[in-house]
Amino acid sequence: MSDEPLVRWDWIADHSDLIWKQFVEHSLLTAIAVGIGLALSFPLALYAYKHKRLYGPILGVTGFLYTIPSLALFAFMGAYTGYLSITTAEIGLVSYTLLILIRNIVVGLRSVPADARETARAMGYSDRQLLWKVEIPLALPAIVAGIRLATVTTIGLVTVTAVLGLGGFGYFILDGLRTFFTTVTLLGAVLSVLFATVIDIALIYLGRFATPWTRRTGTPWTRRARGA
Amino acid sequence: MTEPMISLRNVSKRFGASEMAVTDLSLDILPGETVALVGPSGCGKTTTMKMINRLIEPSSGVILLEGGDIEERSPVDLRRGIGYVIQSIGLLPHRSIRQNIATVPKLLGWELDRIQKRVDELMAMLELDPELLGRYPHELSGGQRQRVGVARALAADPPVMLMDEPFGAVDPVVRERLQDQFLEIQMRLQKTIVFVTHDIDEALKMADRIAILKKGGVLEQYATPRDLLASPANEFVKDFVGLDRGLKRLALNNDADIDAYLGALKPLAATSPSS
Repeated sequence: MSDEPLVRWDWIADHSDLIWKQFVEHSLLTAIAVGIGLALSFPLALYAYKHKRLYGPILGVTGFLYTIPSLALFAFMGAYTGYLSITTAEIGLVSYTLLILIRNIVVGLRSVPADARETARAMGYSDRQLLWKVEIPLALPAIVAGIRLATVTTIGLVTVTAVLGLGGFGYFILDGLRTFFTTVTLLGAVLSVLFATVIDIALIYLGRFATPWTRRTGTPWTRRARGA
Repeated sequence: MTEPMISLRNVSKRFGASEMAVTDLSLDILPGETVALVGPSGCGKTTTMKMINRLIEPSSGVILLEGGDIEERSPVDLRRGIGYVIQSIGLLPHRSIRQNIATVPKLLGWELDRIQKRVDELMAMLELDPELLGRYPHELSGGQRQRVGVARALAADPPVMLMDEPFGAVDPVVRERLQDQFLEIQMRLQKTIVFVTHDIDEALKMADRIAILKKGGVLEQYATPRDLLASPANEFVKDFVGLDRGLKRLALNNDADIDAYLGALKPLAATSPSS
């Protein structure tokens, strides 16, 4: 054991198929969780935004879900909805995204300048147009921040879903720990961190692309026109 | 007599159980007329203005626009036909200057090249550099933003404009230039304008008639600048019109002095109409 190197690169090179498979599963579990999380959060956040009294209770419930330790939740859910089940994993993963997403959407909507909202109404935007063309676009920076946070959190939590017997980079971590094979443990850990970082950076750029007005100097063509 | 463009009949507004914001207000505003609503804070001038495009609903009374009760029109429809400018301007931060000015024409479903042409026309009218069109509001100076706000309100050529302290957010030099520019534009366009200000000199300069309101939205006097200066209805009006004028007020006790005072407020172009 002592002459074993810390990382056996040949093992990694021989198992690129397995690494790809876990990458795909990790991505899928994350995408499904954030997708369903968004689909649930949006209407709830809009509701909490229109009816201020409901914001507290909605944050209370989702906040409670957020505080449940993930390992405990997956172990507990596994007993009810089954191990080796994507449903079990997603119920947990989705419930962790709700607090982050709802809070950020509501904060974003509340940050819309009152004068922009007033003049939009005064110019003849209907309530629906006001929401989709003014309030949601202006809330986007906060919403994107929420999506980033929820996605990175989920990528981390998907490593934990390996205890349910599901794939993802967590599979390597568990497998390595079980067999005292550091190469595999490190592989799983490094890949999860790398994945989270790359996705976070990608979302930053996507967010900037979607909100050109937040770039200080405006669009590239106006910058060029001004000779700057 | 000409039919009024806007007519307020015994309009009152009370927010919840608080004091009256506007009390039994009746005003007729003629087509092409600029009317200033003036008074101290809490006199209901902004509330009165916002009832005309139904941003605020009156508690009682009727408001007629071109003879029709505005309560019978959908607010969205009504508002698209009324220009709106406020002190903080309220340009949409996520839209370019071009898109901001095009807002109402787009809501009304104008064709793209008609919108394009109209935007270019307004940029020229307000002496704005076309290079600004691709920028976002936060990249403009306060004076430029204010003019974009006016251009946006004029975009669909509404017969009526509501303006709340439209020149309040800029420094005095820029304000004076904007006022002069707006007077020139108004001479050509002949919009019916209701504008709110706390600055009596601005009202004397810009308005054809001035409504002086006191706390609770009670109308004290509704008269031309000349009549207001020559024969204030009561002490409140006298005090208000004389506010901050100090020595100047003492000099305004004959027609010639009043003419001279009003003349000094107006730009040359507006005192000698060419057409």
